[in-house]
Amino acid sequence: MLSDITIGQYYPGNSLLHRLDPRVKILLLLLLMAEIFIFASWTAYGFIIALTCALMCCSGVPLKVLLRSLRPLLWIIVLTFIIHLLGTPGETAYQLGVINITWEGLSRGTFICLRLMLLILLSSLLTFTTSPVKLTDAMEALLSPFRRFGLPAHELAMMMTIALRFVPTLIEETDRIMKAQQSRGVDFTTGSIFTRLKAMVPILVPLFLSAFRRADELALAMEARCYRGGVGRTQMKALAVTRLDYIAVFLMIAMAAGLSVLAWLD
Amino acid sequence: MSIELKNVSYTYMPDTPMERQALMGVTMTLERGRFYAIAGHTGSGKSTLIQQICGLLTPTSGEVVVEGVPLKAKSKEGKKQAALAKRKIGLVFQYPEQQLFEETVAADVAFGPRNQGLTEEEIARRVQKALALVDLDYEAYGGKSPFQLSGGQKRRAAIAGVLAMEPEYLILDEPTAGLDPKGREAILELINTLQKGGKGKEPMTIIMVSHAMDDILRLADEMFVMQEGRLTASGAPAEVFERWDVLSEAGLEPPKLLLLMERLREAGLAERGPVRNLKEAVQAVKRGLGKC
Repeated sequence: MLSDITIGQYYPGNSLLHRLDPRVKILLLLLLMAEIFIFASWTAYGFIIALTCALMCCSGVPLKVLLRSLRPLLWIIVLTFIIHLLGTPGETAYQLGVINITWEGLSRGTFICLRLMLLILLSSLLTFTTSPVKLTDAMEALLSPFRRFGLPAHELAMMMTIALRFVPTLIEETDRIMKAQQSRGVDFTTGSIFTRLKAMVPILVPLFLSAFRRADELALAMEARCYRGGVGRTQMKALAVTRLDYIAVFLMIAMAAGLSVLAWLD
Repeated sequence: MSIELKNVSYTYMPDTPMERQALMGVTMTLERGRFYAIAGHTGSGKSTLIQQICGLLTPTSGEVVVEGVPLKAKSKEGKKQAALAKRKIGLVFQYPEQQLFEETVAADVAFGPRNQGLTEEEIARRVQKALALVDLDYEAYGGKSPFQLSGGQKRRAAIAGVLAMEPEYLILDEPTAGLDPKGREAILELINTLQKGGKGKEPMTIIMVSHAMDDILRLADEMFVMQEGRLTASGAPAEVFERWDVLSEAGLEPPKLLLLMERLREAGLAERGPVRNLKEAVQAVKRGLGKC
């Protein structure tokens, strides 16, 4: 049932990746993603794949859990592969009627799929090793330079924190209301789409009511504690850049430089 | 005729870091027509337990049997039987008024019977009967929006929604939580009447989860103490409440009434003997004083 859903996919731990500063992690992830797009050669990918494997090993997240993050996008990956396999002109490798598979298609398809998988795996490494609260903190810090252009960085981060905070609560609540209505004989699982949608009404009405009530109470509680936005606000757990972060940044820049030299030599 | 739990265990979110075993080898028998109470600290597995009894959750291991019908069935016929058996059990969740959603009280109470596919006349009959049971006047409240009612009335309307399905076993999860004293009394009185039956009505089996030990002492025939997913004590409340070691281990306190009686007896002001409610306590004190 619903209780089996985990929101965000934070996997608690204390690995090297867990200890990195979330701001550094986000920036390095962006750098890596840029590298994946810029250096589109097999040698460069060899290095990036090796790095990804190393990061996966030292993340402390079980391989099975990590690979599970690929599952939602599995069909897109497979479809992309097939399209490239069939749609690339070149030397024929295998022919069956109108279907013409080329060597170029095979290599191109594999390459694009690798790229997709790397992007997914790397970004899930970030969400697996960073708690949602830390992530929003980092977003706020990274977005704050844009405040002078009118971007409400603190407000956005606060909204996200509150939303994240209430996701488990609302899931629990939905679960409870669903069970309550189920014990009154509602069947959510059979019937046409229309009957199933109608069966959602007894859940949505109570859910919305309680969500609005909660929002009201939270706003009151925040005001009662003198919340007035982000100006001059300090944090209980301030983000701090440590030596580990400097080492990580240095290594990643070294790798980017190395890849650039490699591309230039080609 | 009874509900039997045989060595029931349940694990939430198995194979994840959030894995948590909520029930461990619980075995109990719930006989028809009796008043049962379940007590335990927050997180002791009470809510999981009652969801097992009424088949909303399926045990990870073990078995729940309702009047001879196992709820975990594989065959089509077995599943049909299990669905029918589940209908005998009504469940009133904590804060049941939060599940009200229809435009009128009568429509909300009719929701369950309508899902059971009954005829319109039968639904109307059941709505009137259920509202009468919970002491809400059909003429005055039937057409009102449930959100216009007071807290206690809302709760009674929600309970009527479950009673309208005419269950033989009624499970209530902390039915008095968050009510004012008057509302509490009204609900407890209602539950007690349902269980006693009479006036041509069959006595109903009640299974009540409660933190109010005095209510348990006063009303229940038998009580269960839950602690960390295990059943640590069961029996008549008067006997269970004598085992203070088990109670404090489970994070519970004996009823205030029994604590008071203990002090009075120590002071020689009350007679020894079982006391379940205020009336009996007064008599014990009278007899104790008479001896002096």
